[in-house]
Amino acid sequence: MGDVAEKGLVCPYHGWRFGGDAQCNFIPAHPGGTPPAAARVRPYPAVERNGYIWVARQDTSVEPPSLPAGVTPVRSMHMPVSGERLAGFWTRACLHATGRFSRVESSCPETALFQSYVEGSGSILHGKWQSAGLGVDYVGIVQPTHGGTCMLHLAAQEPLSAEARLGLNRALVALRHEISRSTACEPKWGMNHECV
Amino acid sequence: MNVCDDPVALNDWYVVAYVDELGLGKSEQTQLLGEELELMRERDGRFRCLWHKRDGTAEPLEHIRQRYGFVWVSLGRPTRDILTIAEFDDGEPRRFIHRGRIGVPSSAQRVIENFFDLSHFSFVHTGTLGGYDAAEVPPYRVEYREDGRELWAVGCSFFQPKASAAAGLGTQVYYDYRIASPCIAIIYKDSLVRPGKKDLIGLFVQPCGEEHCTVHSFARVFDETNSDEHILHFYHEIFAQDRMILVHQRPRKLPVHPRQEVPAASDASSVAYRRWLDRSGLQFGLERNLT
Repeated sequence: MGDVAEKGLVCPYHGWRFGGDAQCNFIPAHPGGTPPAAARVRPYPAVERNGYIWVARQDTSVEPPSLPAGVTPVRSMHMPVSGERLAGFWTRACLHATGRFSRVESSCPETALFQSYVEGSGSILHGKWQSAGLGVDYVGIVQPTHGGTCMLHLAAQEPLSAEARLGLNRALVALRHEISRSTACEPKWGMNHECV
Repeated sequence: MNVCDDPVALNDWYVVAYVDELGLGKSEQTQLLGEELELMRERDGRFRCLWHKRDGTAEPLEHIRQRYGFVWVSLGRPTRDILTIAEFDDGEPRRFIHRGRIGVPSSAQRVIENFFDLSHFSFVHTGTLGGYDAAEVPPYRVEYREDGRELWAVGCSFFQPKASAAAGLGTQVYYDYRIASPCIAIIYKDSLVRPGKKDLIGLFVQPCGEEHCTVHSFARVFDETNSDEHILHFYHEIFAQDRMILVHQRPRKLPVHPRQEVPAASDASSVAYRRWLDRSGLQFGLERNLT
């Protein structure tokens, strides 16, 4: 998280600015000073592909997974479950009755993401979203974040009509709600005070 | 931690409610130091508190008091009294404003450290407590008072475009921070409407668990023009910005290992707070290992 300034990436908390070498080159609280050498973050190799930035945590020899040609980012959304559980939700929601690669019927059009053909597992999910005469091939890229949660990056095959883009957005929100409902019994941090 | 076995944490006083939050004859459940409490208000206005133990038994709390409009409890044997805030009894016409309670999925110590942190103003509270073009933090002093039981950051100053709900133009604001216990911090800020006098804003943080807390807050300020609602909205805007930072900090517990930090001079108060917590022997809410 941060924004890119002329001379580096700026942290949103205290405004420390880090150059491409991962070294802090400006601390706004001390504009006349030189940042300490220890003020350095760990750099990771990164490449840009299919409109996404891919980062390798360790093995730099591995290429990013290849996505189908003509796929464009639609929306990214944080999901309150691990990548493994997300894949489980996805396939369970899609395949609950009739097995692999089957059409799943849902009476609720908002869960249209589930009315799809799904194959694959792990960090890249492929599927076909179908609703109201529209059919769009999509890819879900799962980014494990922290604390057993993940980010789901949804991309779809171009050309993508405004209607299909809106439908995919709604479906993604519906998936998120579905997951939130299913995990509702897990700790939630609200007021911590419960009236009885 | 199954049962809180941290004597330093157990023997301290904590706010668990604002008095008016609980109606006569009502009760509510809350948590403190990972323990389950049931707070009850009798018909005559007195408070009682039951500690629901893990073995199914319940024990009435011996140490429960009302002070400054809040309900305070201790689960252990308090080694000192609830802090004294002289400005509650000095006869000055300050307004008291209860600023509500807000849950945060973070340790209480993370909330306190963020509260007295100066160098985030320009970036987190841009346009109110700070601005991009005036982010410099002038030097201030760190002092230990009350035989080292309190930590103060004194002589702090910062240019603030809108320092409070009562503030008009941007101004250089001077203040002191008082960290009266690991989970209690008060800011003494120069009043903008009564020169020479101080406005107080305090946080009484209730450590519900090691990684979640409830922030109880008050203001005692010179302000004869703004409504309570306006002052509250100003505070809520500020706190929502802080909360966005707090929910993303990892680990949620406050690291106190010296090698965990790369401080700048403006972080003198943070460094002192972490060393002070480390020396106190407190365990609860602290990350003592190098992560």
